[in-house]
Amino acid sequence: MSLGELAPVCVAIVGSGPAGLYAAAELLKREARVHVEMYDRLPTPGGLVRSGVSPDHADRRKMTAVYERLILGSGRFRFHGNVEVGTHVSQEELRRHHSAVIYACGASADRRLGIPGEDLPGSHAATEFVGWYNAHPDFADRHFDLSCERAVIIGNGNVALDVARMLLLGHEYLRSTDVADHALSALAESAVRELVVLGRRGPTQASFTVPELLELKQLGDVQVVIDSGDDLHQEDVDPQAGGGMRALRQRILAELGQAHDGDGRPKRLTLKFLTSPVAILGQERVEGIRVVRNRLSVDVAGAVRAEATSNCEDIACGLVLRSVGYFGRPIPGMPFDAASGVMPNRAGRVVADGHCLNGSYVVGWLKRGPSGVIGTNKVCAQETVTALLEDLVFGRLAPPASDLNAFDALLSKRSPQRMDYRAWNVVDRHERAAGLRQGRPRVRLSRVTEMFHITR
Amino acid sequence: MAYVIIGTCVNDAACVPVCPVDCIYPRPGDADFATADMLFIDPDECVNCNACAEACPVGAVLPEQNLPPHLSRYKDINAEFARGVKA
Amino acid sequence: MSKTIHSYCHYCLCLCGIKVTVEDNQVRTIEPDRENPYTWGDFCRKGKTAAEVVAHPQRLTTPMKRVGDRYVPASYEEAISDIAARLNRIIDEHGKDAFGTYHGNPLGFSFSSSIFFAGLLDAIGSGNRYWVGSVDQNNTHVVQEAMYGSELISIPGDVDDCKFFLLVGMDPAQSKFGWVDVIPNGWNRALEAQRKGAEIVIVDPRRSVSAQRADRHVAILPGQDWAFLLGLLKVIYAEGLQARSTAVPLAGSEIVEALTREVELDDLAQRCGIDAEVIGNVARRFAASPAAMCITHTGVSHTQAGTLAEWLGHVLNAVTDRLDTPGGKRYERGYVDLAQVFGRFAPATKHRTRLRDLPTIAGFHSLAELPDEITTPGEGQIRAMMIAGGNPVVSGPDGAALDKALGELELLVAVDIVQRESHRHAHWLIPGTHFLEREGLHALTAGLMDRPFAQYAQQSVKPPLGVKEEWEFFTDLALAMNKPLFGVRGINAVVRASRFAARKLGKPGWALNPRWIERALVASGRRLKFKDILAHEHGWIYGEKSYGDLAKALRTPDKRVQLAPPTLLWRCRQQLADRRAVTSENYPLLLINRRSRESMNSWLNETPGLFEQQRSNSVEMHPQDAETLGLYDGQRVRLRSPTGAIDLPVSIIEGGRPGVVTVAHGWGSRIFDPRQAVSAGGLGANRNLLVDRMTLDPMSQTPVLNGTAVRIDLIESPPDKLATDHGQPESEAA
Repeated sequence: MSLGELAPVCVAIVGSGPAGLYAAAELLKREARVHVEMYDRLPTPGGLVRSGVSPDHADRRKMTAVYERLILGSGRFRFHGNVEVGTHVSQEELRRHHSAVIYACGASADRRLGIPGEDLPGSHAATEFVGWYNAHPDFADRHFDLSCERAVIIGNGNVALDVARMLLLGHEYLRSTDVADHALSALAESAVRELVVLGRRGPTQASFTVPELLELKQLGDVQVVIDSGDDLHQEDVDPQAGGGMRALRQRILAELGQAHDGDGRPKRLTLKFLTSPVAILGQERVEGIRVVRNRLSVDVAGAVRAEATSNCEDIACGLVLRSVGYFGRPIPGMPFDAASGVMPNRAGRVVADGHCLNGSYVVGWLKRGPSGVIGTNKVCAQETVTALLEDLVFGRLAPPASDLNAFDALLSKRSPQRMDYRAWNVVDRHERAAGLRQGRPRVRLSRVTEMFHITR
Repeated sequence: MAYVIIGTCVNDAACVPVCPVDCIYPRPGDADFATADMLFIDPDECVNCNACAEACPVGAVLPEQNLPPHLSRYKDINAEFARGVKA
Repeated sequence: MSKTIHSYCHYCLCLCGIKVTVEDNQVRTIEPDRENPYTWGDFCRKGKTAAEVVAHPQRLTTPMKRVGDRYVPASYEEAISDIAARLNRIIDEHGKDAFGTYHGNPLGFSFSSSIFFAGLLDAIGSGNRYWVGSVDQNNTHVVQEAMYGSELISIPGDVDDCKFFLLVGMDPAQSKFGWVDVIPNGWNRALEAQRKGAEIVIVDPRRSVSAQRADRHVAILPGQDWAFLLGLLKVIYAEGLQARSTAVPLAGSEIVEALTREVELDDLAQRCGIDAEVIGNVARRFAASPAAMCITHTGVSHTQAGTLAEWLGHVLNAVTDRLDTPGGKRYERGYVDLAQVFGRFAPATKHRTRLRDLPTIAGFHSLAELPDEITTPGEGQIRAMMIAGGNPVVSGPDGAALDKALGELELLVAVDIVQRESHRHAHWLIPGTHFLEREGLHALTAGLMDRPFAQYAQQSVKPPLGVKEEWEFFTDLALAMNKPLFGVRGINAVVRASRFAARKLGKPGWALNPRWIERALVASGRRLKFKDILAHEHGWIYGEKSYGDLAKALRTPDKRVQLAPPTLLWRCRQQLADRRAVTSENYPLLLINRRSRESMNSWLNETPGLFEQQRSNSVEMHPQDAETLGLYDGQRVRLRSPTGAIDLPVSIIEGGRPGVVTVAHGWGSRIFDPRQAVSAGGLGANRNLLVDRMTLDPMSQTPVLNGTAVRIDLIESPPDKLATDHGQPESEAA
């Protein structure tokens, strides 16, 4: 008797970003009985690889193509785009028709600053801005006022630098990328010449990674200024300052700070550390931001904390983008930890009221919180899949009460316009062909209606 | 001569299990993998077999002699970091 | 107690030096032996994971006898006694030819196994010997015989000083440059030469990794390399670009020149799909280069004109003074004159196959003939077979036919590490050993090296308890059958006496064993001493490269390189007159093969440490073809030829020639667990099921593994149909 003679096991994966793709690949590789049905509320697969990775890093987008090819090649995978679990179908319906469900929904909400003026026109979440320039359908109609000369970005992660680069790279460069057309034309009219990136703590605590720091040296018409704002030796303060990766980041930052070949350039990027926003200023719209200088201290747990001094300053600007972290959204019908923004779990098994929910699993940012890079999700997915397969082997997964044909029928009624992989491939080829004509990797469609029109 | 990982790296680590001399650091499972900015090839161990370059889903591995000038810094970074891990 | 062994990997002809750490008879790590002065090369995952094969979960650790649909363990005595009795009965009743054999590369890589297998075959005297060479390098043996006077004269490329590499039908990024020659780290050395100004031209229908690094990629039509090479020769002769051969005398150049005047360059260009201008350009650059080599590998040998193309490649080298000159192709005489030894002790057999009446090549018949020789009744029908270290159902054409035929045998004995696809009908399974479990000197590789190099391989771990090395099994069987080992009268008595003496005196080395033969061969060469080879545990570069030995090694009647052997001239004219299209409206695409660095034919693909991610082969195709057929990357399709059909995912690859699809060989081979009658894996699909066994290169008897006409059918999977198998249809061979 070979494995193939046992009944197939259908696993639903909600979310088609890297976490979901890695989980699918791992499942299909390790267990021949498994069939994966992947659902995404967007018609396009890829999650943040499509809508988060910045246009000047488009090489990284190739990752999904490789994994999509792998999982499709198994012959046991189907993609269902434009299906929103929670809206088109309930969690309960999902679980009833599959042996197991893996939630890979990511963390799409943004953290707020909690300061006055945060909702003034001109103050936005970086997540919105990123979605906007990456042709995410939810943000295609957003408007950003780029008529000011100075913009302020709050946050010390790579997303802050992505946003900074998009505002500074200039039309000539951007038109060779896959940036959304509506963003391209808006950025062509942009008056923004100066960016200030605020970081609550010091350079040593910043989450900028080595590649993103190194490429700041390549910004030909931008002068990069490092305002470390503090004369304390970082090594004295931060117990981890000396080690490997961090030491390298510091060195690059120091080089950036010491370089003077950028003096006199038309644009400027300032990394302003040890600075926290206190209030966003302005009447009808953003006119400036009040900030306070911080000092660092180490608490009993060894964590480096920022404490406000009395040293305040106002920075005039017309655009404020907060990039202080993504945050998970609660999934209706599923447990959620509002404090950490994750679905409570133990090694990927979803936990409700202290016990594991049979057949429910989670991967990626919804499981761990919004940390790490694309590849970090692979180990995470492997852990979750190990748990799922263990449960399968030990008979803890209840067979579905109803089969996939019934689910298909249900979906056809609830979400008549679904994007299967073949249809997505039509959209994909259309985007790439359009890109080829313009000397770009692709020209992305940002409206769902446009996509379905093309697949007709 | 060795291969070099450049900044496009997304820590997918498809390269790690295909390397015949285990010279790519940090490895999934290592303590510092979760916080690594990118992966690095140890030029002292690398045997130039090209397996990592073929496995990488984003094209982040190049033979040293193919590094464009603006990415040449990665050669030193790979060497420094990988040797540092071994040390 | 941990120890370190220095040896070399025996999976492929890179022979990478390895350092093995062993603890309690278990391999802990395998790393390149960086103290090996020569072959540690660039190493690869196959060697690194070798210990996983040693510990294969389905490993045969005892002879196993078929009972019903499963196997039971048995002793060697029982196995040998039963096999000997049954074989003798079959031979007595039906003649020697009723016993057929097949062996594959893994056996060939073990000197002891190869020699004693030959000893067994010579003992029995059957003419029905088949081998993997007929789906690999037979064309080289034919050309070597015709041009240099011996099937075994190999002339490896002299890579480091070469300034122009014309590489036809080869993918050195995967193969490391060697084929039937040992050129360690060859590709990196060629790239190093390129860095210093050498030019690399890759002639290959597909855009391989090698092609991406080349200075020029000639995306030729499959099977037409002969036309391209003939075109190069035409230009060279027409423009007087030949060079006098300085190292070896040639004969027949003017005849080849006359042949080239019979053809039009435009016609050749059209046949191979390469512009006449490109042909001219390559020809001129090749001829003008101070040091150049033209090399042809399996991309060429697996085609119907493969022998032709191999010949023309040799001629190209000869008339531009690349034979035995620096940076060209250099003959390495090694430390033993194999041609002479084999000439004396293993003279060419005159046996011909009874159905197609074909002669042997390098002593063996073509795998393509095997199914019919088994199933067609009559005198000389094969009724019993031994398959040793081979998987012919997957390595050869039309595996479905061979599998069916093997199922009809009265007796099938398989000698291997695990029970594979080709062994599923076996009556007896005999455990094989792994190179890590063996020691020895592989004298047969001496002349294949691109440098004078010798290394004695040390044993790293002992075979599983009770498992005999293959050579011992073959010897025991010959003795049990009462047939003279090596066909030498009286030798069995000597073997028995030596074993008796060894037992009595407690000196195992006194029993006949492979070391005797290794020592004898080294002694016969009169160049090295066996003990000196042993003393160099990291391997020994025992001399300087020298040029000029080829002239002395030639065994042609006039001691000249024969550039225009009549058989090849005739074959060329035959090919020129053949204008039949290979593709048709029904089968519009051409299927070719490829090699994967992490694969070794069919026997490693399920190793856990290999193919971490992509555990299947795929149909690699040009974006244009994908577009025309409306296929997306990863989509599963059915690839069909008149002979068979397989299901695989599509893999869209930029570059190369539209109209050509590539599927790697060696996949789709199941491993069976004989104790439980279950099969594991069968990863990917066996692409050779699509290749017919009737169409052969008439000179090399090689089937057309490269250049099968195929078509692609969509696999309809309507939303309400869920496949309950692995997503593949059960192939007929299964």
